[in-house]
Amino acid sequence: MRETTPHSTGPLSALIRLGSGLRASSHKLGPWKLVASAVIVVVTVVVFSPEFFQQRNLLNVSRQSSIVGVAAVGMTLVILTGGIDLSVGSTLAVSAVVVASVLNSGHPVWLAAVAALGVGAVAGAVNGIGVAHLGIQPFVMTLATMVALRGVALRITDGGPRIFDSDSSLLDIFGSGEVLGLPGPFVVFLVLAALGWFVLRYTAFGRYLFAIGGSTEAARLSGVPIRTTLVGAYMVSGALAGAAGFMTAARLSVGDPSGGRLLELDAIAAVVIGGTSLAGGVGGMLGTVAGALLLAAVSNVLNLAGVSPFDQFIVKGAIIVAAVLVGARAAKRKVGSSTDGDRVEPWWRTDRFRPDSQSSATADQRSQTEHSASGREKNTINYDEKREQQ
Amino acid sequence: MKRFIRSGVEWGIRMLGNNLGTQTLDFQDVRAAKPLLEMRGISKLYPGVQALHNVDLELHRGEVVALIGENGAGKSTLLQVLAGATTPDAGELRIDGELVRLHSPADAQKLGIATVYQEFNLFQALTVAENVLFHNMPRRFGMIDWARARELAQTYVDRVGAGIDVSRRVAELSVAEQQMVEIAKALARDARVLVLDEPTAVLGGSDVDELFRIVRDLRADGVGVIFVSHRLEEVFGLADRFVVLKDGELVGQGDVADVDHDSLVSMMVGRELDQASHRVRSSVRDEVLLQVEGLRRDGVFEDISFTVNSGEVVGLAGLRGAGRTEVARAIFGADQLDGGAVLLRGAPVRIGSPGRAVALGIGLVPEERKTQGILTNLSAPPNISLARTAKTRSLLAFPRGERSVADRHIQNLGIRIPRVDQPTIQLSGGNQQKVVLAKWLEADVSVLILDEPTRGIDVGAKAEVYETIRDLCAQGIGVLLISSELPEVLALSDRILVMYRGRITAELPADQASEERIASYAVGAAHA
Repeated sequence: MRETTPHSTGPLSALIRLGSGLRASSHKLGPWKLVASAVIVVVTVVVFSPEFFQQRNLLNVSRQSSIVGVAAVGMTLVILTGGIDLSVGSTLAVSAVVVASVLNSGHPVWLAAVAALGVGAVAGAVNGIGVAHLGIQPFVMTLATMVALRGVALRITDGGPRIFDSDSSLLDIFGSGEVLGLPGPFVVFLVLAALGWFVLRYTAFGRYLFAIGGSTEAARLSGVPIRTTLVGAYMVSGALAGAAGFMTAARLSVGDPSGGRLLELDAIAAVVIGGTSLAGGVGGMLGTVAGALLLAAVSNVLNLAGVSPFDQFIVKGAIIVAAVLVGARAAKRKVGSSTDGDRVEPWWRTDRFRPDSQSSATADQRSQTEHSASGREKNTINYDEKREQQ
Repeated sequence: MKRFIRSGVEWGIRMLGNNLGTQTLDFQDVRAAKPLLEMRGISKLYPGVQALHNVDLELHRGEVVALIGENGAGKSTLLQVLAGATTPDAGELRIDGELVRLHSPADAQKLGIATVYQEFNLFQALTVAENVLFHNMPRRFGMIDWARARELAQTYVDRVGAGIDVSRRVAELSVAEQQMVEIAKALARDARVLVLDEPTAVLGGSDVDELFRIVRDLRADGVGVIFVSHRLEEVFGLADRFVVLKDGELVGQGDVADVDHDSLVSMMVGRELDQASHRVRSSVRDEVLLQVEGLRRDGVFEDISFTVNSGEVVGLAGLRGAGRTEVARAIFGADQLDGGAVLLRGAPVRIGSPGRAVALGIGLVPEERKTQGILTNLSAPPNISLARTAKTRSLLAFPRGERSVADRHIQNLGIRIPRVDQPTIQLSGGNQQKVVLAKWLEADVSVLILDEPTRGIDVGAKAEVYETIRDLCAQGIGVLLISSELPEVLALSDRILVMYRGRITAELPADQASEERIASYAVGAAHA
């Protein structure tokens, strides 16, 4: 890695550097890298699309990052436990059409907001119970609810979008309005992210998320309430997806049952770019905020530079891979700096340090050895499982 | 083209090796011949650490060399160099006198160096045959010849005498059987140098004997074996020569016949260590803390009754598989009980989950430190505070508070930790175990169950863990100690229970116990 002497060739690589710099700072490799990366990004973007830094455009970018960002805040909690929530896009759609229905039947805006959060929390509770109590793999469980909830949203509106009329200024704040000169949704995003950051850093619940992601069994044997914590994480993710649905409906004045498609993937991308490991146990909220902003900024810069929407998808994909690769190398380099000679991790375990393969194969193998006859698959949360008789 | 030449050369080397291997039948004068493996002046510098400094190692055909040293001494790094996983900064490696360079694990394997790690490299979902022949499945018309594969694999497995059916899946095998599969795999690749990294750490008594028999057979076939162990009696029982590393340097080597236990220990730790002989005066108090009555878990253990007093260490001895770990987990609420009662300070309690056990003041230091004891992704402070947070059901957790709590324990227990905020995966085994102990100290437990607390921990750290256990007892904590190391059980326990096949077969006061007595009860030989 030559972050120390960057020779950027374009906005893309510069943005990647920004991502890696953010991640590096979260690993305490030196905050100056973040500054250096930011400077490079600024310079390159100014050269390629100077309009980017116009105030109006920046506000636009922040607004565009909000919906994905809110979903990504909840997603961060779930991914920290080693899980995933694919259902946030469908939850957003259900929430949006529920908001439209509630408002159409003449109820006040606050009730619509409560309904949106409630619907999301219920969807999350279903996910959480499936994962924590029934032992279904998070990917499978939330894939199922993703499909089912899309059906629910379509059924409520009979397929078409549901338009509603509201001149509520409260609703406007969450949609297209402004608070203190900033876009309303962006303020919501920042507030929720700050809350999320606080939860991760200063609450027992936050500790438990990291503990479960590190090793469910070790956490359980330390007295951590696994089921409650997992259900809580999925409920938060669902509720925040519901909030994103409320914001989407408020913005467009319509409850669209096919809204929020691919939201789950954008949210996951934001989390991963932010340095949170898909294997769980490693990561944080600041990275997620940066990841969401980065994704929105990339889209915006590419738009300004006149790149076609089709090509933008390709670039986005490339950025996700590049950001994760750079982060992986940074993490791997840290391994070499281990101070205890004998404990320098051998090659077959080094992948433990890569953000995206934290639970190494050997650990899985070990646990499979223990629960040999159980035949369960490796990502299932088996904390209920009895030790097999030898 | 380059690759072609290289494989040709390797083929030549292997043929040469095979020929030598079959011709050198008289191993008495092998020392005169060129060593099978020769490492000279191996050095490896990691940032801030000289992991290896100018280390020499020789291995002859048909010889077993024990590589010993404390954790952090450089053993793992040396094994990595040998396995081709790490490239040394300086030094040379010769096989049969030929200078070789290992750029990757594949290079090492091609040269006949096979390494069996503690964490096996087996595909759990595949059969034994597929694992053994993974690198060279027999083919016919381009397709795998399964009949021949099974036959061939069976010959290798039979050579280690394991009697394992090669069509079974590895996941179904016991740890000992998996280890044998690893060795069979090495044989299938014509390994001439077999490296065993703490092979006995995962085995129970009779399995160790079986492993030793296999190693001796291989030695008789001319294979050179390097094995790492923390148990010195194994060094004397198996090895021909020993090599001692300390702080990355070679501090001693020679024939095992020429040294005794104490001199090896002092070479390893660099100081005289009065070995576990001092059983300190007991701190047992009158109060019964934990009492269990007729505990039963169907098919695993039954009729388990005992008490643990305040300030007492009750040793639970027995062979691996006797049900000791299972009893501990059931008392802790990690596994379900099918019958029996648990009483804490005389009051019956129902412990349905570990969370409940923690709330009641019971702690468990599990056998599998890295996957069950410590959270390797987190630094020491959150690890240490985790159980207390769970116990008190507090809603908030403050990093700064955790930090000062951790600082206190780090100082009291002498945890060596370069940076407090580094993930605990970077700590040595002994220091990780102390973090786990600190977690339970912080959670203010009154009963602590220790399951193999010093497994894989070096001699120096062991002594410190013993000291911590004694301190705990002096404070009135009751300890249930599960250990397969009899000297450890004898040195620490006030009372010793012996389990055999899911039952307690003996209860011995410390002054009436001896290794022989415990061992005879543990194998079900003695009459109570």
